[in-house]
Amino acid sequence: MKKNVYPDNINNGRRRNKLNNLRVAASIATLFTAGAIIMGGLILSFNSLDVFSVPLLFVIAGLLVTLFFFVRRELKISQYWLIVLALMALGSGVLVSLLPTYLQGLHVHGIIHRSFVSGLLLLAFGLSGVYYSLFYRLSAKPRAFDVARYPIIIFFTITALVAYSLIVIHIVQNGVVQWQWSLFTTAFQSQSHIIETWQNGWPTFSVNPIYRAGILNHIIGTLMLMFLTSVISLPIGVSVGVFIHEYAGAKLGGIINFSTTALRSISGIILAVTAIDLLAVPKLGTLWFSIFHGFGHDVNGMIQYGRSSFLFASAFISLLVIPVIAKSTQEGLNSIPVDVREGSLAMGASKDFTLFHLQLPWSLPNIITGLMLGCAEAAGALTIIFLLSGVGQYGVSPLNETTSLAYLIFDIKFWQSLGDPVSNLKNSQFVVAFVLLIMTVGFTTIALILKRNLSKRYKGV
Amino acid sequence: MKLSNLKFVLNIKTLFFILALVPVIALILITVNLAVGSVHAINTLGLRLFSNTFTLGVEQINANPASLHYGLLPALWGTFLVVLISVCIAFPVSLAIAILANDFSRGHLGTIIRWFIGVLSGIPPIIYALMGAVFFGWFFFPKFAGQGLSASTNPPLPLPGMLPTDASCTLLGGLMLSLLLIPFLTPLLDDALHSVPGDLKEASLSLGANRWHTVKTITIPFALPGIISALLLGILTSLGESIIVAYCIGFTSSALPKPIFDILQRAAPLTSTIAMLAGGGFSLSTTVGPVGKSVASFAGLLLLIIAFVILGVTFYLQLKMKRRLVQ
Repeated sequence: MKKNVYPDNINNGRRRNKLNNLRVAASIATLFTAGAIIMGGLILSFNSLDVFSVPLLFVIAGLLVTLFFFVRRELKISQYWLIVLALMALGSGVLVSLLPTYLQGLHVHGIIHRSFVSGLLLLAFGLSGVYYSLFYRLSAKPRAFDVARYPIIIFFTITALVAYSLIVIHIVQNGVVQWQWSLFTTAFQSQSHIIETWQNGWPTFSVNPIYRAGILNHIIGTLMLMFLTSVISLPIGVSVGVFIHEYAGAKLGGIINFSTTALRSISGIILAVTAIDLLAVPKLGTLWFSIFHGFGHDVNGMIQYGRSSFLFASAFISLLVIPVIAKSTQEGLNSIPVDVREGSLAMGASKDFTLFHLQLPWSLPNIITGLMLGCAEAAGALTIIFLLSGVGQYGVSPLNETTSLAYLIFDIKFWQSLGDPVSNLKNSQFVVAFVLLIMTVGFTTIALILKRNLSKRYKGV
Repeated sequence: MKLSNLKFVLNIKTLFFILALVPVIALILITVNLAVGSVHAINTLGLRLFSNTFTLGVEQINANPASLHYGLLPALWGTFLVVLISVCIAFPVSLAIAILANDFSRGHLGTIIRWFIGVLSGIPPIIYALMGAVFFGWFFFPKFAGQGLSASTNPPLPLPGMLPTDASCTLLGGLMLSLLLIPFLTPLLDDALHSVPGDLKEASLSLGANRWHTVKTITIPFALPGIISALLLGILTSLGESIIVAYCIGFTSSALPKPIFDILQRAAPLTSTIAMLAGGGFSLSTTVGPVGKSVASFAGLLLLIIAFVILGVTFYLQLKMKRRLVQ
């Protein structure tokens, strides 16, 4: 039998009509296998739908065999791979029906529900079924190679999208359910007020516990981290970008570029180890100790040292933000046409004048974008500060103990077993996550919008 | 002091140079600090740093080194498992998204996808970590442990208490980490695919090749250095992430999982072990003594060396890519 790969090339009306049977069969197979993919996703989510998996696998096998015979009759192609695929689907259907509800073996410390296996099998056979049926639905034209691959590519995209939307929906939903306005107006406090009273000439002490649930100090702390980080990292980041682009030679520029990239790429926990070692350097009672560790006064007027101050923490966070600003500054400087810069120099402007009056204003949108992204980074940066932060109940100023919304979520999980008062906020942790999500995603979105609009304003001729 | 000297000091180039040296100095400071800090651990423990027992106990002054068990082998294996799971999930998905945005989209679809990914990249890791526990309840609990962990459930479990009860296992950590990696990897892969000259693609399409064939034979081979460097950066990111793994897996694991590929157990990676040892934030870690802190520095040094190697390869690949584009 002669194989005819592209039968459509034969511009023959009779043959086109005869293809209709194949098209109907392939359309049905496409719809059905697409449904099987969705069903596979649902089976992976809900155990109880597992009963549908075996019949679905058998039906997919049947459809593939039908498709094989139609393709053979209409297109004169023996696509034996379809038969192999059908046999595999049949075999896996039999296998799934033979499996017990819970799988166990290989001494793995866990058991696997049957629906996990059957859902994955259904996804695999559904995807390949959609590929072949769509391919022959389009009569194996050259275009069919592309169109048939769309479902596979889109499947991955939609899976990722579903995961992210589940996360966002869950946080927004629970955040709205747990929402309390009082959380936003009170600062968290859990202290004991020691009251001294005189009775019969003797002082007696009574302890008055003060507990206030709220996240006001964490919100202000997050804003404080954003502000201090951007103040520290903006001049350094911009000068790194400018120096690499304008002044440095290949070697020095390469070294600075490498170390800037490396700071962002190496684990934040390494920076945290260095920060902890640095915190241990000043001795208790010295000025540097107060500046590094942060201090505040509790209700009794006693001085309380924190783990680290906002200033110290944001100095370390800005090591992560400097690369972002440096990269965006370089992008901005690279986007200037050489003619414009040379024109300025040719008119007699000095290099510094050109830099400050032409190049930096031109790359301002990029710098602002980098700064906004850095702010979002500082709000969510926990890798460095989760070893350096505290509850922050003694006030929020640059020299107070670090605290942030991201740390609060972490704190709630890891202190609840120790009976810490923060764990009482467990019932409102999704409010905290919601506010954090609004802050970080909001800043990122604003950065993207600003970049688009500002670059239009400055660069649109 | 003469005015000209002052002018030299306030030279703008000098100012930029001094400020630009801050990252270099910081990196040198970190490297030196870790190297100096790890000397104590190497002297005390030697090759026992790579043994298979890790216990976090009270460290007495002048303790016998034989009584200290700070083996990093479980943590290294945990890192390997987590990186393997997260990259194996995130890389194909991000490659598919990048191909969809670049070569398989018409109209505004590519722009919309890039916007989505850009917005998603703002989500901080603690959100994924928090959602890890929720995903555990939705997906892991019914899939991998039956309908409950107690023996009285219906159907009864073959073995009671097989999963850690506080919603954590290696697979969960890797899965959550892959969600963090996708918005990180997709722009890198997108850039790599975007850097392929349009002329090449158009030549291929005009010769009758379809889009998929063009992607397979023109785009991906041309962008391969960029794709590999994106993959390496993804590996580096998942190596260094510590919040999600600490939240979803745990801080330390005492020995290798048994059997060794068991991802339903907890195999805590290197970063969370460092966090526990470096202490400062946990009341549990007040028991960690000088040797323990030094072990944290040593583990940090290991991570730093791996990071430098990977970054070096990445820089080389990007240089190669640039040179090819110039040609």
